Amino acid sequence: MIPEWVQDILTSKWTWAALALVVAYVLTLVGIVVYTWLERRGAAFIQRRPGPNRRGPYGIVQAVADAVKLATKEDVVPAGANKWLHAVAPMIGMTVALTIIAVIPFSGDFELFGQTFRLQIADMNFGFIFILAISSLAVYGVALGGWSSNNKYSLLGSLRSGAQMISYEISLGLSLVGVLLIYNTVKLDEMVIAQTGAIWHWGVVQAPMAFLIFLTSSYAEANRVPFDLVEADSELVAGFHTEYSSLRFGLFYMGEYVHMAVSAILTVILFFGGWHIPWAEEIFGSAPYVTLFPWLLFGAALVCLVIAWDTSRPRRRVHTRGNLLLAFLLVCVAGSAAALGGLYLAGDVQTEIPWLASICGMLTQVIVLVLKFAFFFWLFIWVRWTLPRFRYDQLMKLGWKVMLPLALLNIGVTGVLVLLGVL
Amino acid sequence: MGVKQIHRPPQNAWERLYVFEIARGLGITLKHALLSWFKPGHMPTYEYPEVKRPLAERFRGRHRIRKREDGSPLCVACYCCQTVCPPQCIDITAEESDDPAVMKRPREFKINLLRCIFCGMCVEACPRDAIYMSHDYELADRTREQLQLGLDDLLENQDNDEGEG
Amino acid sequence: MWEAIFFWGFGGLAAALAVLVIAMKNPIHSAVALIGNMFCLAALFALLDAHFLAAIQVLVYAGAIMVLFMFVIMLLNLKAEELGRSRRTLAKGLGLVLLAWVAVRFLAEFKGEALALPAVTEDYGTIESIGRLIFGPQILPFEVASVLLLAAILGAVTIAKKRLW
Repeated sequence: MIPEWVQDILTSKWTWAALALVVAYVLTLVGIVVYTWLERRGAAFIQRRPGPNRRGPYGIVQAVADAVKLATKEDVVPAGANKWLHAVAPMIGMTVALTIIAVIPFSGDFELFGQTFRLQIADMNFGFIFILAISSLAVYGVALGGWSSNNKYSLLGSLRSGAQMISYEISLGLSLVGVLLIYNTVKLDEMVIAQTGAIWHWGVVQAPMAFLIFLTSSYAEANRVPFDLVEADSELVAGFHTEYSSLRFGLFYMGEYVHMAVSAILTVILFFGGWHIPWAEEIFGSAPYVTLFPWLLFGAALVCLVIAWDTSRPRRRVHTRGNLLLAFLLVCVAGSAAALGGLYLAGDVQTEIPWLASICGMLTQVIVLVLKFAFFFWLFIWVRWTLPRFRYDQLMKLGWKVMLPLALLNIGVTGVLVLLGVL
Repeated sequence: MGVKQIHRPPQNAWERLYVFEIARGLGITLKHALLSWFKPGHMPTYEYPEVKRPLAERFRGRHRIRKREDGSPLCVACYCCQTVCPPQCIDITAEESDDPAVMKRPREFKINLLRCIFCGMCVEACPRDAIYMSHDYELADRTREQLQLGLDDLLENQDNDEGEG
Repeated sequence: MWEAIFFWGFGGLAAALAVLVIAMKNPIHSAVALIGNMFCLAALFALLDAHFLAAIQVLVYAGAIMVLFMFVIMLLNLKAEELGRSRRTLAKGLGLVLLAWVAVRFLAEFKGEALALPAVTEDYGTIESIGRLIFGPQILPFEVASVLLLAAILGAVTIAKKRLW
């Protein structure tokens, strides 16, 4: 049987909060390497060029080189800058984006030795408002950074950010009120649970208008194209971070990606069923994620094999090094994943070792969530290289004359439908 | 100066909703992304250091000076190119030639590539067709001095050139 | 124990930041100090189990109203030297007198023992209980406040726009 101390560790809520922290930070900080790579190569592919394809398989080590370059550059503080605020501003954006992660649930409830846990750092009874409150502080990073640089372009960027973020935060908050009416809760995990079962329980089907408004506003909140007037390279040099260099610029840059990651994961949790697979219970029985785990392992093994085959092809090895090493590692991973899956199936883990089974179910949920998250992260990049930037008056017009009335209308219609019992 | 009025094409209700038109735009970019991934050979990009772009026949790269059959420069140090050069990057020092058939020859023929604007007027001006512009365009170097071409630099490896005559 | 540490930490910080708001020369510094103060107040609310109120404090005051303050300050872009030195000694004197009066009143009322607060119920500070309070017994002040805000908005629009339609 399992020793006592292992049980103690497994049944401590600190363990699972720490694990949630690890998942969150891997998704964000370590993920930045993947995000920048995805952004640069995605942009390149959309524009029919190869992009960074020299360092490492598929050019993925390029992001590390970028980070090293940023870290070793000279940190220039412009003369006349407000030194204190200039230093603090980049931290605000990053801190805010990382704080929001605290309330995001990464898995559903799972039972261990008779106790219930969830992969969530802080289980607040107002998680949803917490997100709105904290993300409303993000504007200070941009605004103070631009103002403290003592540069006219930066100041213009930060003024724009102030107006833009205020405008879109209202539509963002109001669009979420509609969702709140449907789910009848403000706790994020309960919102995900409300989306169990059929695909029409998903928020995107129940509240499509709220979804569109939320998506648009979250792009505006993250200062991404088509709402990147805060940087607007063609008009404002680089907007609020014109005067930033070295790791301070890096912090702004990473903060933007973390913000995007948080927005993407919130979209999944609020509108796309979080960690749920539609009709999971109907198809896979009473404990669907536990049953699915070995098949997920087999699927992962297959994906690894396909990538290994692709990366070891001569065509992919023309400009890069380490492809064969990666392929070898991937084959090893694929083999062990398949072996584990086979063991899991053969050993009948579900009845023999219930604690392992519930952890495996939790892992499956995390992976499902991450897969959905990956799509919405790609959507950020995809939209960036598809749409042109708004003009400033168009931005304001869209925010106040289209999004705000639509969000209010959405609340009214949703409220009536909920009262009538349709939703 | 007349003001040119550009009338935007009218949008119907479907287009004014934007959502579906944005989806159509996303479809177009996705198509390009997938094409780039699955058919990288069809990209219009050259993988530069390995694959060089084919140059136009009349491309003007760095200068060369043709040689006579005995290997001495064809240049007769007439100073035509130096006179015509707009940024004045050519500096010739003439000396008397040993060959009785030739009056002068360059003792020094310096071209400052940092100044040169690659306009090709020296080639036009040359009465003997001695100077020409090669297809060599990879001219980056570590010091300024290395970009001051002398006579030896201008005479070297002419065999693999197919420069303008 | 922890509650006391957090209380004195955030309380002290809030008081210090409140002093900084009026002591700072640069209006942006004052605004930043005020934002910090709002944040500390929210933390104090959270310590009192009023979580919803804490979140709303950050959302509305630190996140929205102060952004507008800062927006206006940045738009004017006042420099510290342009503001000059304040010489209104009468205002200072009056302030000191008022402060002394508040201190005297406080010391007279303060008896060194904790106030007996009502016990925290199960649903204390939740959105539901606050909603019931606002839309139940307090409906009139709530609606009057919103009418007041509406009047302010209308006033601003009237002043800002010459022609209303």
